[in-house]
Amino acid sequence: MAFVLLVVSFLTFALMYNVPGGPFDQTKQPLSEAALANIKRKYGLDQPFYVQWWRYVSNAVQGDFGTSYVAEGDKIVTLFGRYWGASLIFGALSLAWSIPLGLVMGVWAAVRRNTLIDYIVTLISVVGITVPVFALGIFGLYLFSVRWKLLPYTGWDLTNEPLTAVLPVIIFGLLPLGTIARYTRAGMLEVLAQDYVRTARAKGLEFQVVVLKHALRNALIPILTVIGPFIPNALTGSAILEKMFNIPGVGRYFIDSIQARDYPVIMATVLIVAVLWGITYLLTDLLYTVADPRIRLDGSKS
Amino acid sequence: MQASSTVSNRASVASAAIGKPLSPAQLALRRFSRNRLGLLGTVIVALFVFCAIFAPILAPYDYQKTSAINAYKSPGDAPEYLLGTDESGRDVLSRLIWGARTSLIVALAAQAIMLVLGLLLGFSAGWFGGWVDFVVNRLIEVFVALPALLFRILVVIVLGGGIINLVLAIALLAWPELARLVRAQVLGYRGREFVEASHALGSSTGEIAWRHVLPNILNPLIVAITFSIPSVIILESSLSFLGYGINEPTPSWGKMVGGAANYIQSYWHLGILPTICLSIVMIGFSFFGDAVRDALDPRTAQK
Repeated sequence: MAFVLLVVSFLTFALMYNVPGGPFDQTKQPLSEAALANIKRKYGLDQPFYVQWWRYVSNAVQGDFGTSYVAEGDKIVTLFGRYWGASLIFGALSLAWSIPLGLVMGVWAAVRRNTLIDYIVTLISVVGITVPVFALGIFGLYLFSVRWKLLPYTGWDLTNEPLTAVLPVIIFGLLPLGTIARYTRAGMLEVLAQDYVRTARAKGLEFQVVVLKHALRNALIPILTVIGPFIPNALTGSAILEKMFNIPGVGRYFIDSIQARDYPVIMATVLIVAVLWGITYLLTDLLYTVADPRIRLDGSKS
Repeated sequence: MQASSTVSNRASVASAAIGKPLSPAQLALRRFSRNRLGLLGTVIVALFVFCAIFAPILAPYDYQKTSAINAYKSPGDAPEYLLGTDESGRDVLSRLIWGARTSLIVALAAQAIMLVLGLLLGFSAGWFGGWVDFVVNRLIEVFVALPALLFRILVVIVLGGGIINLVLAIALLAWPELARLVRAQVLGYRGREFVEASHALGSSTGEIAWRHVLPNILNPLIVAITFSIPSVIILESSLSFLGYGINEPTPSWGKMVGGAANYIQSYWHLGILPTICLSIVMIGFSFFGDAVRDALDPRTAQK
């Protein structure tokens, strides 16, 4: 993982090094030669590329991602923490309803196979999985805020106006909802056809008990692999939805920073998100071993 | 689905009995044509491709022709503009039709690059093993760890917008999935007798790859491609939506939505119409892809 992060940081650094235009462009901020040279020295911009990169990495390892060019003097770690809060709440709320509901919908559709319920669940999952998130966002905004005026039009204020969160949280959750429902349904159908389920039914166990205790537990392992990647994805925010609904999260902050050419912030965001990805992947791997003792951590399945 | 596949099995047994065996391709085609949702998806995808190819003939107006007097016409306002006009008076219908072409071009170009990279790297890793496999695997790990959307935005900014750079930004980060698939498939064929026999007869690695391995991994590859084309279209429209994709004046559905998001309270059609097009095409691709997978791999069709 350390190696991966090193390469990720190098790629990002190399890309940013070549971004046309900088925060101290003469057109944006006319400065004298001497002042410009001073600023460049202050931020180390007069050093060669690899020196800048190496110094950055050695600081980053110690948790120092430097200061923002734009919000002057503010430590990036503090800034990131401030914006990440909104993204974290946004993502956590979205997963909080979509994961359980996705599981319930998947199990329900499998048990009531080829009925109206099954078709409705399938339709919802197809829409959630295939329609891009900004399209769902525009539909939602148009129907619920503009046409029916049920919900407020963008904004993010959980304490004073909690209704502002409803639409983005629902839309952000539709992809995990659809994916989890689809895989749960397929997994349950497979497990329900197994001999031990028939045996459990034959020896007189309640249908609900068999579904929940025997079938669901075994269907859960492949579903965990599906849920895993959603967690880092949700917890690091959605640039598209945060921009669309004006949520002050990491995704929107990243886009704002790119427009302002705020290199240290861009760099830090990419790196921190990569670290979060790595950690959540590790955690889901651990989760598999809890759910299925047959899986060993070295990757072999005995 | 189960019923239809048993019917097709019975049909193939019957036709075999009268001495006319069906080829695997014919069986796959038969399974495909029995899938109603798949046929619906095929129709949608075909319409989309048709619009993309014949955009210059189908579009009633030039997609960049502006007209200040005719700006912000809603659908039905003026009979000559069927679906209304946008903020600079350009015909929405024409831009929607041309948008299909943009999506298809980006999807096919990105897919081609991903395919070349995925096949080359995946095959080398699986075939040669050792340090080649090690390097390719580390490369895949790095590219999977990158925050994809953020990094693509960065690439577009460095290279500049426009179709070619957008294609690169999409493809250069999306090949690992294909490479993984190819690697896993090649590993399964490397030690097989027919491959060893060909090797013993003096075939070169390239020859074996092209004539013996590729035909065998074609089915999973086709399935992967039918699912990856719509995801490329989503990426193109998402990046264009954010303003880091297709440049003006080329029409793109994502960009049309992005530009119209602020007018949605007064001019709903500017945001909603391209969204509807995109959603229908995506759902069509999904049905089409499912049907292709079920047709080529009868085992999954049983589910």
